[in-house]
Amino acid sequence: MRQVALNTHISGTFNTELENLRNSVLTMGGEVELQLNQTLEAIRENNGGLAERVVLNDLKINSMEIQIDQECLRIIAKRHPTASDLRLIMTISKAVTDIERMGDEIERIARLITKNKLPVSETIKSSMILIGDRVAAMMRGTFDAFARQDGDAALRVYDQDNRIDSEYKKLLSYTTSEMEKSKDDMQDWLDVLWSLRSLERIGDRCKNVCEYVVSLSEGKDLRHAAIESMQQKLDELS
Amino acid sequence: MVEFLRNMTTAAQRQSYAISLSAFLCSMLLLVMISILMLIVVRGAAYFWPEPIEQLVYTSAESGEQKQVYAQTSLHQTAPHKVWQLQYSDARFPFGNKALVNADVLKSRRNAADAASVRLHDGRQLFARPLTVTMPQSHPFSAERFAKAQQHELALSQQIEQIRVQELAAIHIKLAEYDRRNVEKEAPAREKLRAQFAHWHKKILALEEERNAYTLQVAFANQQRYTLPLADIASLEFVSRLSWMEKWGVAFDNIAVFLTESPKQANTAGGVFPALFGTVLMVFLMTIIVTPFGVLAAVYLSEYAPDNGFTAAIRISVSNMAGVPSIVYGVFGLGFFVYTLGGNLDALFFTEQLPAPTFGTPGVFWAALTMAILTLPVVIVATEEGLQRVPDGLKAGSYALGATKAETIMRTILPIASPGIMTGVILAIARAAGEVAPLMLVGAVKFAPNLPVDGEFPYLHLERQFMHLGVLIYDGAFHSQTDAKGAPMMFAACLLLLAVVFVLNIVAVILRTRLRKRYLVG
Amino acid sequence: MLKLFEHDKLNVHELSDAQTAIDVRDLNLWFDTKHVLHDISMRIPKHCITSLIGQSGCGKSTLISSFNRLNDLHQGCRYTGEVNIDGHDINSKKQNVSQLRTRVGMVFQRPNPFPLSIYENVCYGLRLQGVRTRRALDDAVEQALKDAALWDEVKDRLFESAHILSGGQQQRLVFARALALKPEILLLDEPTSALDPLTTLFIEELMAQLKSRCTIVIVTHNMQQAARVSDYTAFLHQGQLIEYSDSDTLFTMPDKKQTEDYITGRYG
Repeated sequence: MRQVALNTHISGTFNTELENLRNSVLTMGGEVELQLNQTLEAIRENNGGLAERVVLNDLKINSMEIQIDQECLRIIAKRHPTASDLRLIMTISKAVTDIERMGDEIERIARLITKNKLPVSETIKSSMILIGDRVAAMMRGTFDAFARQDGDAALRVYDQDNRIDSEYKKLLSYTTSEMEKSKDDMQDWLDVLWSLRSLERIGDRCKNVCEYVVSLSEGKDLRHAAIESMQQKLDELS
Repeated sequence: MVEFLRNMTTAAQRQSYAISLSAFLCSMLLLVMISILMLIVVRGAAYFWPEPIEQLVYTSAESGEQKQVYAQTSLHQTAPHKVWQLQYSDARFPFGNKALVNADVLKSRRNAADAASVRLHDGRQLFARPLTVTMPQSHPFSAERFAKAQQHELALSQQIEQIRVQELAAIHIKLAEYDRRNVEKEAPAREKLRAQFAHWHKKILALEEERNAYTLQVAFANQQRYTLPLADIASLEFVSRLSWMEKWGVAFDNIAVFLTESPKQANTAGGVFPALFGTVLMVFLMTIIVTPFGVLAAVYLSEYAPDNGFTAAIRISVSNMAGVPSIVYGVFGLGFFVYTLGGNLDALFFTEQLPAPTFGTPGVFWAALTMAILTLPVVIVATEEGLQRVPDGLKAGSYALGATKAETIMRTILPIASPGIMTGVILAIARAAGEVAPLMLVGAVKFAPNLPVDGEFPYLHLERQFMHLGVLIYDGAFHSQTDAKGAPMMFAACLLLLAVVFVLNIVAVILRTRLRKRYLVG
Repeated sequence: MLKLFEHDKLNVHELSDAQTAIDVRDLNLWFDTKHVLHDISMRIPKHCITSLIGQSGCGKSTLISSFNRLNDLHQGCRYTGEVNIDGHDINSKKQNVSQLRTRVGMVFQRPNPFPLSIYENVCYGLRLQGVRTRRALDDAVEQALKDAALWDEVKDRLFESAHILSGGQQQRLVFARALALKPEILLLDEPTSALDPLTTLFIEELMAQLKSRCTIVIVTHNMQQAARVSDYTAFLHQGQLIEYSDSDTLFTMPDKKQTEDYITGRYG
């Protein structure tokens, strides 16, 4: 596996800039991770205040995304990065969008708590927390892989999403059965469904970031493989 | 023809014709140059090479009687019939005469192994068979005896010379001093000196008497005898007996004599040392004068002068000056330097010697100055080209480091332009060494009694006239129109002049190459 | 709010006197009858790299040459307006031009080492200043070559001809030559246009290191270079200063349409 060496440019300033950029992504990731953990805690304790903080904190993450995006723009404009440097910056630019979306999904879950619309069912709640922990672990793995630009680790993290998906499906079918029991507050159930979906989407976003890490570190694109298999299926159909 | 070429040939053919034509012309030029060089080298080298002496018997065209002579022969003419040129000695012309002999009147011709070429100190030469050496008793000739006799004679000569130089010269100086101090004619001091003088003079006479007893008797081919005082003989060589190696030795001796001795017999024998020395000194002085003038003028024109019509006009005039006939410079030198400048110098600083001129006559300094003016345009043009080749970036670099214009010129521009300056100086040297016409007006003479440099204060006598190889050649060429005697020497002098110019050029080229390597730009 | 990146940029239009290295006021310049610079007014900040960009013949080289009065070398050059360095107008008659040029060093487009040894090249300016002692010269040469990141490469052959060096080394030698005089301002007139890309990066890195020691003004044809190295950028067009701001702004969000067209390559 090829590690992308950051600190070997002739220009020392460029080195620092790239290092700062990468660190800022990790800072942002850490912030999102914290948000998720706080949200899970809020679910566990049904703590509206904590959830409120999470909702407000999302603004910070949004601002971080804007700053990192601008820095990417600035570096592209000023340094004209090429090859691995360019891939890194493009990766960061895309990953930042995904991370920001994760923040948004977390905010949506937190809003559920602030509106006090958490389902009463302990099973659903504990399942949510279970999935949430899985997602948090996956997120941590993603950012680790990103920090180390470790493609193999990213691939391992990538696979974790399957389990989250299956758990989500199970929880979804359970929730549907619960919904049938109390059809009166359909509106609230919808919110619950949305936030469950949000939880699952965080996993998908992590998957995206992992894809970027793999393409950055190994120069090959997982998404291409997906496209190829789809093409194959299309060919089989016709 | 042009029409033909245009119609009948393709472009490629036309081009190949053009190339062939230019190559042909170039090779013609090369041939001409090689033949000039060959002629001078062959005829010049012949001057040094000892020709064998032959004994010839022929019927004289003038008197019709049979003549028998020792001679050096050379083929004068081959068609319509062979004619030999003889350089011979006999009782009537002991020191050589020339004659043309048709091959059909030549009775016999054989190598004369017993005949020697006897060279005298004054440059004359005679071919004869040595018979007896008198020292003071007569003995039959043998090489050892001759050498011994010469040694004795040399010892006597040295004695005489010593007395002349030490004793008599001192007396003369003292007498001259008395004259200056107006010591009375009958003063006792004078009487004493006179007595001394008489004493030494008598001694010299006695020694000379003794020396004159040393003689060499020789016989010509017709058995007529001739007696030579040993004191006059410089060398005696049995040329015909010499082996190949010995001939080389003699040739080198001849070259050494040619390079180190004064001319004799009106520039037809002896050496050319004063001319060689005068040429080199004049060129050297000229270089010293022309280089700073030319370089400074070029620096002004190229760096300081405003870029306007006037400067352009000066540039054009400088280029045109290079084309002015050299004799015009000679006249200018004579009229301005010698008469005006020199006359005024005499009037200002050498009044006590007037009316005898000091600087008011042609001399080596005026010659060098005239040649400097003559070669100035060459140096200016070449230097300016060198200066213009200095990249602007370097100049700007120097200014940007806080250098003033003068500092930039001294430290950057001149060193880089030095190969160009050297080129100019080389051209100037080559031109000055070869010029003759203006020099004859401003200081070069056929024969100068003293060198411009000697042991007498102030050692370098810039006002003295000097000898010049070119003038010597010119003089020799004049002789050879009436008399073939001087011609070989003229060719030898030509060869030497070529060698001098060549050596000066080589030195300058080496210097230039080294400078160029050192100040290579880019 | 959390700030992830620190880019402290001065507003070049509101520099204080203490922050200003060169203060150009209403500079107009003519070569004979050709009006080359029109009313240029700008303040160049201290200890920063300011680049001048623009098309060939837009007057950028002329502008930096007017910071050390190198334009004086051209006959028929006239100018009005002030160029203030350290509060003194260098265009005034009282200015000692040689002394000015030792304070304002310059490096040119083509490496132009003198045909002397490496050592003598570096000493050139010092010798002109009258420094004679061997020790002082030795120290200054070593320091200057170290500053120019050339010392390690040439320390064993200081007395060989400067022409044995490669192009990039020659250019660094020229930097050392200028740095030996300890200038306050270093003017660079397309210093890397004759060099290969890697050497160019070396020289650029050198500039970044020199920034702490002197103010650098660089003229470049290469917009990428201007973007890479400079803190502030001025865009000139036909002798006029079109836009002047910090490089980040100028290369990401230029103010003027002309600038935008030039840096995006849409020009003419």
